[in-house]
Amino acid sequence: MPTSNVRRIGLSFAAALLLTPASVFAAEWGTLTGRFVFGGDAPAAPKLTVDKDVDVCSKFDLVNEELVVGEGKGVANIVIFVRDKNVDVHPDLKATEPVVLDNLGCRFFPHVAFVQVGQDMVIKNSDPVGHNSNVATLKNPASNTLIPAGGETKISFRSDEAVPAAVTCNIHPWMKGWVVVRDNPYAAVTGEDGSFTIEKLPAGELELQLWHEKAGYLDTIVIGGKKTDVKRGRMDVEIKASGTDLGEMVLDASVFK
Amino acid sequence: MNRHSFFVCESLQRVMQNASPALACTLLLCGLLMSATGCGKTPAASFRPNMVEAAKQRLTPDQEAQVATILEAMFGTPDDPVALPETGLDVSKLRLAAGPVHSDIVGRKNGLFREHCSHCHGVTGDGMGPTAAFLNPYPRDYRPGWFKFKSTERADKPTHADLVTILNNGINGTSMPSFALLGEAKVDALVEYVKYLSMRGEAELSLMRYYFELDDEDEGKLPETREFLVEEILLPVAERWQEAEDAIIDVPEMPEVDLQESIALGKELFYGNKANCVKCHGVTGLGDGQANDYDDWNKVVKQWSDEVLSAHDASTSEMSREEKAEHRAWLARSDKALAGDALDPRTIQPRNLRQAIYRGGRRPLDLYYRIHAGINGAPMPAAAGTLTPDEIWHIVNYVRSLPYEYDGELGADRSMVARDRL
Amino acid sequence: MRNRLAGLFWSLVFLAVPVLGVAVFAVAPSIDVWLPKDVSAHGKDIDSLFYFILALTGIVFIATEMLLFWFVWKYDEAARGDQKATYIQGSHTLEVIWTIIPAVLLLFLAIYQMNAWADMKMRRPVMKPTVEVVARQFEWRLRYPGPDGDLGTPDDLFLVNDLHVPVDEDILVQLKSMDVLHSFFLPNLRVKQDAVPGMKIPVWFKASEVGQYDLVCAELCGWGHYKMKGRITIESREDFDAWLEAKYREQEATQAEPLQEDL
Repeated sequence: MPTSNVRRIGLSFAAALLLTPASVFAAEWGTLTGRFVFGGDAPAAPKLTVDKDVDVCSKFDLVNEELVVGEGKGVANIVIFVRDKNVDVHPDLKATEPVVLDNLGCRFFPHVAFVQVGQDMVIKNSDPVGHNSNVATLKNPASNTLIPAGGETKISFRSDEAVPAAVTCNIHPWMKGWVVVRDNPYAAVTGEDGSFTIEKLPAGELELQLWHEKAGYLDTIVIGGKKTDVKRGRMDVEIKASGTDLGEMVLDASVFK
Repeated sequence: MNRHSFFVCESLQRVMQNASPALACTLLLCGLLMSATGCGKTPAASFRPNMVEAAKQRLTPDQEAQVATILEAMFGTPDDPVALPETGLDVSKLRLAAGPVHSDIVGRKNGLFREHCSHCHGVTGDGMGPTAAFLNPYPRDYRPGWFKFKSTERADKPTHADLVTILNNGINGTSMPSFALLGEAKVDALVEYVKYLSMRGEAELSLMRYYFELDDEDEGKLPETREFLVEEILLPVAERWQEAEDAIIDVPEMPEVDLQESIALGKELFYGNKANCVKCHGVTGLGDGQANDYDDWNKVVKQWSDEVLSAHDASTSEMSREEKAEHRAWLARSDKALAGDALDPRTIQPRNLRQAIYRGGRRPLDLYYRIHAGINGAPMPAAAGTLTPDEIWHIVNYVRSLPYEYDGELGADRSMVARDRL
Repeated sequence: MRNRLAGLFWSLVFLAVPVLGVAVFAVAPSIDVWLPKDVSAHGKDIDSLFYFILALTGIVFIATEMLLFWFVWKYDEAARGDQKATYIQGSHTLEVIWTIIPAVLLLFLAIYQMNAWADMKMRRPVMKPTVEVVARQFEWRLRYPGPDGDLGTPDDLFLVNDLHVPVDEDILVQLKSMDVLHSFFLPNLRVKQDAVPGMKIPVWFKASEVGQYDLVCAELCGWGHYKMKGRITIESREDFDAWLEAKYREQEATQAEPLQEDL
């Protein structure tokens, strides 16, 4: 849990005790869902050139994961996070478990990991070969640790990152993953089917940030057949207690060029 | 223009007024020659903006101007440096290093940075001085705040003493020579100035990157409050420099085992899956294991130039007229920044360990630091946590034996001895 | 009649050359722009050769210049009126004389200096190198062989710009260049030798007095040539050994301790 929120919540409790029994948390919480689909014919993912540790890594039929279009043309690995600073956080959403980023099958798994400020991230290596994980953060001190086969290392972040940070392995140049560092728990990465869910958001107006590694900030989305400009990948949404569904959002193939 | 040549020009003009035509002609010729070489009005030195980042962040001219104004208020100019107390920098040392080369009122030499450093590192400390493009590796660009050879953890800043060591010893294997004969006071002033340029560069980067985080109601302008500039921008940078002084890596004693035994253990680790040194430094130790990686400075330029290249190829048919114009302007500006404000990216070679040339120092202690913390800005990862201190020491001993390792047999791991290669 | 003054002027100009030339040499030592202090065993040979050649060329120089002056003065057109110069179509005798005299002088110099040259460049002391000096843009990288006396072994000591040698002992420097032509110049030891990439050039000398002197580059080697400066410290054998040991201990440090800054 980020310290600023801890302090906020602490203060809120004091205020609540002193003033009224009403909570200063958002009164209601809602869930945000949506799905991104690829407009056009899904391109085949190009094969990666495996030229290091060939005997191990060539077994995995590795492909370029910059753009993964899964079932029903869903676009995977799109990052959605809440931009608002000091957003109210649902008390159930305390991040206690460390996030795991695995070096698995000579690739990073998950491809995009989400971690909160102060939360531990365990980078482990389930492969029979050694890896290193070079995390190129901008605001946080960048780290690059050697991780032997079966080993793991633990890192954490002191501040949030406005853009997801690339994770690479210097031994296996084709390996690339991403880490999203936020100071609240409200972020999601789309799955194979292109859908995402963010639970227990405070009801009301929120600003979302949409990002994809190939496209950068997603600024042109077709919603309900209508082309919508989303300036700098920022999108205002109204979170309703009953739940908000953004529905099917189509990303034209040109977005990913 | 310095004061001396100003007086020469001035008196030359006065003589011209009273001279005979023949003399006047000769003097005129001399005068023309001089104005071509130094008598013209030279603008005061100025810091070069980080054009690569500005183009990358798509800053508007107004935003670029705002960054320049803020930076000048916080850091001054190359002739007149300013250091806010939060930086912890000593302004008197900065003054000794800054400015044009001249002697002050007590005959003390000033302008040390421009005398000794800016040929390669540039007045801005951007590693793009006039000689930079000729050198391999390129001179260090201080602006991102990454330094390779130090006694602190990978992501930490170097200590003051670390930078003094670099200036005193030079960096063998690169074009950085030793400046030990300048004496302690001058080296000290230069180190302070390097820290100043680095802080300035980092502040510039975070200012430029901050525009992206602005909300719509900010209208694309950074707040110019002391709270924002000092708390949000300057302090996070300055504090990391100050923290470094107390963050020196704790080095346990070398284990008391027989040196040959330690070398054998180190060799096992070197080739093994745990330390994995062999992957980059090669089975021969000649540094030929990994040839296509970049260091972080070059990677920034490489990735961005790839991006610009693919933007050149991208279709613009979907764009509106204004968007197209904007896109073209951005491409033109990016090309210009890549050509004029960045050096052609080059790959980094893992160190050839058989030459007995160690850039960051040859003491066992230096090699321990390198292996423990990795090398900031380079692909070399940190082994701390993965290897025990004893294991690191074994690798240190093995690496130090590599330039002398031979027994007449060549093979996969017994290559030609390269120690005598220059 | 032509202007007599012009002839006078030009003859005086030619007279001024030898006069000023001699004056410059006469004054130079007293304003400290003469040969630097010699602290080497062989320096006397070099210096006396220098003085000998200086005297020889000096005499020829003054004589030639005086002759020039005298001719311009004596045979000035204005002074001689209408008298015409005699036309001579070469003089075999004269040509032989002014060819033979310099040739004899040069041959004499060539033979006379042979011994000094051989001492400096050919009669190398039979010993292992005291130190290897690698010139590079723009510094002097030094390597001492360590206790075993062999270069290229793990006990080598690596330093930069700070050359130390013991006094009154034969010193053999193994000179290399890493990049371009440099020249290893110890003015006070009367040693100057080009460093050539790809060659290992032996340089030897014997220092006769303790002290600290300059080590400079005497071959324009690039933009930073002017700052390619080192220092030579000549010291007693005991001081030299102590220094080597201290530096070696520093190089082998496994713990951070305050560096011994004795530079």
